[in-house]
Amino acid sequence: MKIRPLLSLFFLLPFLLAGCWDRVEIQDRLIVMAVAIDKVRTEDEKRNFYEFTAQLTEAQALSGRISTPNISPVWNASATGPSIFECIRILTTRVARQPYYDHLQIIIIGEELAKEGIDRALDLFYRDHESRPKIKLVIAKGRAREVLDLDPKLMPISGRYISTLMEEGEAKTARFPKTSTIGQFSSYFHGGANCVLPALRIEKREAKMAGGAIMRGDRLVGWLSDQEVKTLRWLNGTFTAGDEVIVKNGPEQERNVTTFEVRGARSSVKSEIRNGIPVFTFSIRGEGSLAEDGFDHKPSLRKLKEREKEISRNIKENAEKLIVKMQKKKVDIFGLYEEMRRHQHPYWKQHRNNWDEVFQHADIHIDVVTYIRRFGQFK
Amino acid sequence: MIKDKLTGTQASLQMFAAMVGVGVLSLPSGLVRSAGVDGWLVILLAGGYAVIAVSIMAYLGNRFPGKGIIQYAPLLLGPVLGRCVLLAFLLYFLMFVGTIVRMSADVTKLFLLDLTPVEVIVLGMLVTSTYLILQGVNAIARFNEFIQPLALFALLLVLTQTLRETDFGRLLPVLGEGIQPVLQSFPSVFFSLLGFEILLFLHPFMENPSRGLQSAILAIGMTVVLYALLTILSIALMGAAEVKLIEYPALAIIKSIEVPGSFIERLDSVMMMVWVPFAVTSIVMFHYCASLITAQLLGLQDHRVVSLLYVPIVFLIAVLPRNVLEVERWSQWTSWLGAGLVSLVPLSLIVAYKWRARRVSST
Repeated sequence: MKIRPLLSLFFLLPFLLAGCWDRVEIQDRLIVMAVAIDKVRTEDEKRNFYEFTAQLTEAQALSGRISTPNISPVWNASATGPSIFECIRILTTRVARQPYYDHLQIIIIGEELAKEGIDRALDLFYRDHESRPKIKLVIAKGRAREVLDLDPKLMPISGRYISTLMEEGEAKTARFPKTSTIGQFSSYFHGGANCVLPALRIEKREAKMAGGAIMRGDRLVGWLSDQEVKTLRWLNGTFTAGDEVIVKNGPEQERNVTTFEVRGARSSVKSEIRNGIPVFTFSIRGEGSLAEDGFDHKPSLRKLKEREKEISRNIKENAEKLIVKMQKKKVDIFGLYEEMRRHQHPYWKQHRNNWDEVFQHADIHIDVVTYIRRFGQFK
Repeated sequence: MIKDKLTGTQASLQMFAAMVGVGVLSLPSGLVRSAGVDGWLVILLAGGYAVIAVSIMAYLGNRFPGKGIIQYAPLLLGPVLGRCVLLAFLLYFLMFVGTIVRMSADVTKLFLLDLTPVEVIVLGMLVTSTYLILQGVNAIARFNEFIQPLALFALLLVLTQTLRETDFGRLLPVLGEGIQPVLQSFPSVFFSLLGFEILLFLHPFMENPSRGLQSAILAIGMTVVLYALLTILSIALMGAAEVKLIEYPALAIIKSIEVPGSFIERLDSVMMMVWVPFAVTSIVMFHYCASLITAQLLGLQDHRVVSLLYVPIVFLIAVLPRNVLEVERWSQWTSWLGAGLVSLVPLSLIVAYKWRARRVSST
C-alpha cells in the first residue's frame, strides 16, 4: 500500500531537476559597467534623439583575468533612438549576448544633451528595477561616448577607471562636487533645487575629473572651475579632505606658498528675513594640518594664528566671489532654497516660484574659522 | 470546540504579522504624498486611534470569556444584524487577502520573478498560506513566533546601514503646513495599520484573555515604531519631494546602501527576503478568520474545508484587477470597508452591550 504514494512522488521528482527556468549563466552575461548618453548631432534624423552607448564587459575581465588576449573584453556598443529603452533594445540587434545592467556603475552624459535637460534621459534609470540610486552621474565636456572610448593606462575598462577615479578623488581632494549619484541628483531635482554635478574632460589617454557642471533644474547652464568647486564644498560643509593652497603675491612669491591639508569641515547656515529680504549667514569651520612649509622652520603660536587667519580670509574671499557669480547667474547652488523650506517656511511658500529672483537679492554673509592642528614631523 | 491556546507574545506577534504586510515597502510614499514631511506624525496619531479601537475590542472580549466576535455579535445585535456584521467582516477579509496577495505578487514580479506569470506567484503564496491555515491557529502562531522576530531583526540590521547618509534636517519644518494636512491624511494612514481587528477573533484563543489588550497595544506599538522609522529614514535620506515619487521607498533606501569593498554591493535582496514573509504572514490570519466566520455561520465543526474553498475565490479577487492602479483602487475600497468596520462595529457592540446590561439590571 505504501508503494503507490512513493512511486507518484518519484515521478514528481524530475520536475525539480529543471531548476530555475529564468537563469542565465554568468559567462553568457555581458556586464554593463558604464553608459554614455549623447544627443544625436545630425538634425535631419528627427526620430532619433539619443545616442546611447553601453560599455559591455566580459565578466571575466572584471576579475582581471583575460583568457584570450586577442579578443578585447570590452566593447562600446552604440545605438540611436528616441528613448533610452528603445536604444537598449536596438542594441540587442547588434550584440549577441545579454547585457546585464544590475552592476551599472556610472552614467556619463554629454554636454549637448545636458544643456537640453537630463531628466528624461535618466527616467528609465529611476524606474527600472535593475538600477540603483547609487549609480554615479557625470557630465562630460564634449561627447560622452568619447570618454568610454578612452584607453586608459593600467586599467583596461574605461568605465571602471572613471568610477574608481571618482571614488579616489572624492577621498583625496575636493575638486569635484559631492553630489554624484542619480539618486542624489533626483532628490535635488525633484525637490526643486539646483545642484552641481561632477564634470569630466577628455584628454589624450585619460579623463580629467575636475570642476562641476552647474545644473539649473536638470539643465546644464555653466561650469565651475575646480577651485570654485572647492569653495562650494567649503560652503556646504562637504570639504572632508583635500588641500587649500595660498599663494601670496609678494616679491618672494615662491617662498610664501602655504599648503593647508584639510582634514574636515563643517558648515552651518542661519537664515532670517530682514525687510522682506532673506539674510543668510554661513559659518564655516575648517580643520586640518599644515602640509608644506609655512613657518620658515621656526614655528610659533603667533605665526600659526596668522596662517589660520590667512587661510580663513582666503576661503572667505573665494566664497564671496562665487556667491556673487552665482547671484548674477541666478542659480542657487548652495541649497538655500532647501534651507528656506526648513526654517523660513511661510516665506518659502510665498516665494518658492520666484526663488531665483529672491536669491539674486539675498544678503549672504560668511564667517570662516580654520584651525591648524599639526604641522608634521619636521620643523 | 477550541483546543488551541496562544500565549500573550504569540498573540501580539500574530497581530504584528497581520498589520505589517505589503505596505512596508510603499507606505512612506503614500504618507509623504498626503502629509508631506509630517508623515511620521500621522502614523503616531493613527497608532493612538488604533489603541482606542483595540481597547474597546479587548473590553468586549473580556466580557465574554472564551467567546469571540463570531459568538457574541449575534448575541448582542440580534441574529440578523449580527450575521450581517459577520458577513461584512467576511467580505472584508476575503477582499483584503485578495488585494494583498495581488500586491505582493506584483512586487515580487517586479523585483524577483520577472518572467513568472502573476497568477503563478499568487497561487504559490496562497498555497503556502493555506497549508499553514490547515494546521490551525497554533501552527500559525508558532510560525509567526519564529519568522517575525527574525525578519524584524534582519530589517533593522540592514536599516542601520542607511544612517550614514541621512540628513534629519530634511524632516523640518515640523507642522510647517499646519495641522490640517496631517488630519486630512489620517484615514489613508490608518489603512496601513489595519490588521489589529483580528483581536476580535483571536481573543477566545488566548491562554490568558485579560492580557489581550496588552498584547494588542504591544503589536500596535511595534508596528507604529517600524513604520515611523521607515518613513523618517526615507525622508531623511531622499527628501520629501523624492519620496513622493518613489513607488517603494523602503526598498529604495536599502538599494542606496553600498557595502564597501565588494564588487557586488547590494543589500536589497535581504530586504526582499524580509519582506516576503511579512507579506505572506499578513494574509494568513485574515484567511483563517474568514474561514472561521464561515464555519461558524454554516454550523461546521471544522474550518479546513472552507479555507480550501476560499482559495479559488481569493485567487479570482487577486487576478481580476487589470493593472497596478486598479489594484490600488480595489485596496482602497477594502481599506474603507475595513476602517468602517473597525470603527463602527466595536462601538455599536459596546452600546448594545451596555443597553442590554442596563435592561437586565433594571428588571
